[in-house]
Amino acid sequence: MNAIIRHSGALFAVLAVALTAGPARATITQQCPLDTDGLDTDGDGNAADDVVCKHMIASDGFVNMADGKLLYVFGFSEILPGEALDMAVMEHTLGAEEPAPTMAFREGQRVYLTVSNAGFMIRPDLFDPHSIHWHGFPNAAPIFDGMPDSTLTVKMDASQPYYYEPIDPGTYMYHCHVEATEHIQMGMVGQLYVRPKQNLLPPGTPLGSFVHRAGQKYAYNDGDGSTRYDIEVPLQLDSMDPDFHDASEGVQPLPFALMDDRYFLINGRGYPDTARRGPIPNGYDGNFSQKIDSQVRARRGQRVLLRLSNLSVTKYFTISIQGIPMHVIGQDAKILRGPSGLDLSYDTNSVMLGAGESADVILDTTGLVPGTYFLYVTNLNFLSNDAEDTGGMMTEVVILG
Amino acid sequence: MRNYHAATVRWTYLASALALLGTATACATGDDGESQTQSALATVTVFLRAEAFTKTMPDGTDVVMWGYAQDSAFGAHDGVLSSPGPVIELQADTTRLTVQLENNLDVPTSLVIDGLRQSLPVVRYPSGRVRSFTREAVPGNVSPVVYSYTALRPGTFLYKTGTAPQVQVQMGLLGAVRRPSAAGEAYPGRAFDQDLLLVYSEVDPALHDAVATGQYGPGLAMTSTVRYVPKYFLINGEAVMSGAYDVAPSLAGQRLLVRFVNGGLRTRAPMFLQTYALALAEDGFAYKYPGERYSVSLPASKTADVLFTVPASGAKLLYDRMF
Amino acid sequence: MTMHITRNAGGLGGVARAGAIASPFRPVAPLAAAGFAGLLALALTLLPRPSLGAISGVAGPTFSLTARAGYVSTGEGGSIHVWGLANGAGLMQYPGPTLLVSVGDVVTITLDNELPVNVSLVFPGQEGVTALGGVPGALTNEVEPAGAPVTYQFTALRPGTFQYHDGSDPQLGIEMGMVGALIVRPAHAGWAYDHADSAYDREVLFLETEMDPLIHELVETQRIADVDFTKYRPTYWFLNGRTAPDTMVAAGAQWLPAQPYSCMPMIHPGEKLLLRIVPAGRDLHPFHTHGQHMRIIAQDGRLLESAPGSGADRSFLWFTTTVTPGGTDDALFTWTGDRLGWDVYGHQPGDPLAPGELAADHGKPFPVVLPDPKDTEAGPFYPGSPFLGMSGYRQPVFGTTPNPEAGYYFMWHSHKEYEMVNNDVFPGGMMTMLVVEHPDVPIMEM
Repeated sequence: MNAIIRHSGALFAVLAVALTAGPARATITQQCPLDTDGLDTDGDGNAADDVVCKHMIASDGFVNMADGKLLYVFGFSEILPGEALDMAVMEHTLGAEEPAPTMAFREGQRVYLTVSNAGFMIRPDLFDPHSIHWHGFPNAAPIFDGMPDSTLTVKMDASQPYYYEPIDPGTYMYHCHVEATEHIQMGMVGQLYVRPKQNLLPPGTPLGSFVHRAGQKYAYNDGDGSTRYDIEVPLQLDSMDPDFHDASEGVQPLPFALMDDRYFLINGRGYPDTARRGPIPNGYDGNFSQKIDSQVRARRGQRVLLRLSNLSVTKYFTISIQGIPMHVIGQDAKILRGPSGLDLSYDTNSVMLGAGESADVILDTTGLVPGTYFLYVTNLNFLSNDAEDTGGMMTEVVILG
Repeated sequence: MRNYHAATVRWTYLASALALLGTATACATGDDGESQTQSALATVTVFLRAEAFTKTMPDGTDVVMWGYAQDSAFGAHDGVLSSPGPVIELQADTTRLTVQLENNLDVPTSLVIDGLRQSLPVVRYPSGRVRSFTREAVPGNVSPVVYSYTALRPGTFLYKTGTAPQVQVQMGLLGAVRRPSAAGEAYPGRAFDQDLLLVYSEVDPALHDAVATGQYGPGLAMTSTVRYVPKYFLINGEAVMSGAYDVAPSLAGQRLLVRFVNGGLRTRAPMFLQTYALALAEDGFAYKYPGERYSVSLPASKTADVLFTVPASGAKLLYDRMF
Repeated sequence: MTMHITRNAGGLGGVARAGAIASPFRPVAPLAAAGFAGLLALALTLLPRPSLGAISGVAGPTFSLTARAGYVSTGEGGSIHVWGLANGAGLMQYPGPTLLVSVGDVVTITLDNELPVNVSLVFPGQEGVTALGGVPGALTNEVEPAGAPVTYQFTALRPGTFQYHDGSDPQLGIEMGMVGALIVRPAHAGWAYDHADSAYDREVLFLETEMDPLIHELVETQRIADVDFTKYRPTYWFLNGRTAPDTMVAAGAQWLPAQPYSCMPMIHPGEKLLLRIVPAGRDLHPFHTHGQHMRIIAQDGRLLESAPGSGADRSFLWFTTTVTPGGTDDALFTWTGDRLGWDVYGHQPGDPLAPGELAADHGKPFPVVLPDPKDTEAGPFYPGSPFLGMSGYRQPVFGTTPNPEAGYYFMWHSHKEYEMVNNDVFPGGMMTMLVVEHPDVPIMEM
């Protein structure tokens, strides 16, 4: 609450700008055409539902780290269908979420993504544009790639349309690419993946010697059932430097060269918040800015798909689960197959992920005694919430009987 | 001051000094009576004792470490403490490994083996946070805490404490397990003549000092391991990571199996000179299509097995290209 | 002598316009009507673009290298004391000369030393390397300060991408700059390995390094004993010895005398670009290619084959590539712009296909209405429209644009994004651009 007092000056500054700049303001808009082409591109039997519209809006906000530290962040939140667009800037200011709302699409959908910019409440001196970079999108063209040097990025109180036809299933990620080091460190990251058409096969369809049954899901169009799973858990690894965030909040020079991440996060939280189910409100204004827990829950015998990605700006992380080996079936949104079909999937006890890398991992829970297992970073000093021990990049894998 | 390894020790030959090489046939099970009296070779029983000891580093600094000793029986106290702990040697027909743990530390500890499918009962702090991934041995336990492993397979594995690993692994509670697929064979079809095991670990003396002086914990001088600045870089417990292993020309023609185990917290990159090596496996999982590499990626907690025939020139193994 | 890898780009001469790229980050003022005439003129001439990505180096098989101190420049205007390797009596350079040899060559490298420490060279991936002269060291024979040279010799048995570096004190020698690439070419021109799966149209070197300037300062001021690698903290990150934006300056630029190699590949849609990725420093770098995945076809100078002659059947696709320091990866990259659901050339349905264009998206309209220009900020490489080349409708965004032919610019960079900084100054560091030019725009390999 004293943060509100602390920032009341900034608040007034924003209001002043808003009042004086009123007539020149652009508006929040969205382009979301109807699906009238008569084609069923996503293969679900309905020719009128292939268009998917998403609307993300950039702003600032606050999150609490697991040790209680309140951290100033930049981030995205989602403008949901039916929201009044003329109210969106007001509603979503200070609405940044860690991570940003997850985007999950189906192969064959046609995605109209709108990115809007609500500006920063706490930093009214900044007029940063924003973008969304669909990290790994195949054959990207600059106009929808979000890379500020070679395309357009959206200014404050304005909106920019993006268009994608997700054709390659897999685990991607997204982030703002404007002043990338700063904006990603500040938290403009989110999860993004594409599910394959193979999920829609009629029950009884043979896939080699495997037979697809109703409701079975796959990570890829594998043709043999090898990537099937029961439970899907996206886990995005990240890390943050509180000094950098505090400097940003305090309008101080940003310590790029001294950047030293001390919070290690899965889906925007450190342990034990990772295993705390449901959204978490922040201690600044009560906004539910950390919506995604990362507790893995599966019944014994189920196959769990972990969609792992890393959007730290400073670190590699090696992830392991005590007692449960991993089967790696995909990397960087590609099934692990050679060009002639060679099966390159492999078993391991840990996966190292660099920033901007992703991996798809299957866990086989057959025969495990029900209980709680732990997924954690083997760079063990990252099992910290800064000065607090037994935290950081760790979460629970709960096997139910 | 420049760190000692480059300034004072600088390039060290190790071959004879450390006697790291063991021949394939000499990899016998430990001489514990248990394995001979019980079901012959099928079960291996190891008595491990966790305890603090002092290690003098090459620059003369004494560092309090936690390590393991392999005793002849629970309470016998006839083993020698080391970090990494003793190599747990399994035979190709070992179907069960039993570790009986004695805890002579002043905090609870436990044992896990990475890479094995294991059902693990968690132990939590009163706050609800995890303290241990598996059952603990309390300090000064009067009867052994027994860990049994039956899902054994050929390969190289890291064993370590499962209790507060961010502190206890750094303190030195780690070691290696190796199991051939047959005598002189690493994995099916991969025969070797010599077996070289290299266990990597790191020491940040700040943590060791804080733990040894009771200054680690909430409200004390050191409260977490987040600021990790290792100063000593160990191979098989000796501070030689800045150097290289000399594979002598006299070994020409021999098939050398190198088992890498990273018990440290940082990624390492061992690199061969004058030869390639076939990358056989990681974490005890054999690759479907082994490839020839001269560099090895060794993230924290990873094990990697490689195999090569020593060329006439001999070869060098740079312990870490990322050092 | 310096050899340039050339590719026949149609025999076009043309004006070298590399200087236009010198300051890619300067703001480009939107230009109104006046810019249109210039645009039209450019559209009519279609000047050939000089590629800033071609691999230049020194042709072997006999080399003379000298370990020598000097300075490199960094993108924000800094200068760092380094120990590099000179080609014979030439200037110290960073990285050392890219050594170009052919398979079967008996490669001979004579090393002299003008530095205050022992130096030597090791060649990971080469077998049967002999060293004559000098004094014995831990890894190989070493040259003492001003001492007698060492001659290293080996037969380049197999093609591939390799590196070489200091072997006397790799920790310090690599940090100080004694690293370089070695390329062994197979008998078949246009292949990287002895298999058609390694065929390429163009090639580029990505030699990744980093530096902690404090170490260099200590060395420069004769305080080597004070160097403490446990405090290692790099604040500069390099591609081919340069930090961004210098990565995008022409090879051999006069104001970068110690850093002769550029790193800015240029391709046409559908061409195969071979990336020779050489992490020559000590750190891991997740190298992200905007625009498309790359197919990793070889590691450590070995084609990723499951059996001899099987081709790169173990190859795989990554959008971010981490290569083990000391090792190498070869990757193939192709961008076509197909399957986007709209026509990247801005064609009308009846227009002819562009060379290499796939028909599926031909003539499909651009799917959204772009915002009012005042709602967005345009980057300096923005082609003025969503489309590749000059055929689509364009917004008048440039007067002195670094992208006159309206190519597609894709940032290729370390995704440890704090490595896109030159000692606290963003942007910079381990970053460059891939340029995809319209098929009608000739690309000259310099």
